[in-house]
Amino acid sequence: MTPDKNFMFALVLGILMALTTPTLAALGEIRLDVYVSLFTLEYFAAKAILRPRLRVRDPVAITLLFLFLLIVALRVMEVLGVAPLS
Amino acid sequence: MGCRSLERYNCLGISLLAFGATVTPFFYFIMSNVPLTALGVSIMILGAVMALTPINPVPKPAVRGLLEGAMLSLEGLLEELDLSERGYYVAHEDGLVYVYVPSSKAEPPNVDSKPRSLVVELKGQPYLVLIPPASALAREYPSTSLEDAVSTVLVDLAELCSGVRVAKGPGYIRVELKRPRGRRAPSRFKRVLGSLEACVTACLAASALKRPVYVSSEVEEKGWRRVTLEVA
Repeated sequence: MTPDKNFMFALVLGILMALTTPTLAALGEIRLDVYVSLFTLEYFAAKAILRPRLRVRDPVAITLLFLFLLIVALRVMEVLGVAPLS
Repeated sequence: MGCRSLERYNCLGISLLAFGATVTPFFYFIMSNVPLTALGVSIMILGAVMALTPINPVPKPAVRGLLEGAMLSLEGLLEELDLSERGYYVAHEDGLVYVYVPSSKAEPPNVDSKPRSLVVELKGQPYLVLIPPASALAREYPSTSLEDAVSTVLVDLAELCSGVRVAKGPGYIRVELKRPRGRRAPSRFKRVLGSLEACVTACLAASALKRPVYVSSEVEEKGWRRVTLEVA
């Protein structure tokens, strides 16, 4: 029986995120945006490879993309000295 | 795996989403712990993905069985009417795909409205009009990409093969099906409509392109079936 790609997607994403969080924590990472950026990257990579079929037009991807763009914008502003994050 | 277990899967997703949404602010604002906050965020993402996964209440072998049953009944009809010319898959405005089977060699039919009877006459040529097994699936699974649609129906829904590749060329579509496992199509059905996998693919292609399509050839090679669809 072929494994269902929707369930494979949830499984792969769960494993990736379960590995990322303790790894970054062990490295002493305390910036939340780093975690969220990596979750976003993992989400889109798994989605591109496994191409799951969802009920609706993927609100998770839209939310993660919005958060990622916000993080990038804040970092750029920090570099420019407009609104530092920390 | 029944319907109830799949619904439980969605419920588990909603529970994880709610749990993540509850603990994340707690970890961030009360405990000020970033790794635990990230854990909460990851639980929310996973929960949302599980909640959004569509349930598939009809088991795959049942879908395959229904398609094969429809194929056998069409075989009986074609045998009875002694038709063996290649059929043309045409999508109509109601979203269904119809197959126009000419009684003798004929050009692709040029039709604007959906057929009102089993036999229609176009430019003096009589055609038997059939509704192929995957006609309704073409309406239920519209997709921007033909490969996605074919993969969803053939691999995920009916498990008729384990992988799909689609390549488009001028006037033709080549579809490669990995390890096709559908029942061997009866000879008359295969001659007129193609194998069951080719029939499903042609339905989806006609629906996506909104142009008449027919199965031009099918070649088996090392676990792959290469289906060529001509676009009329």
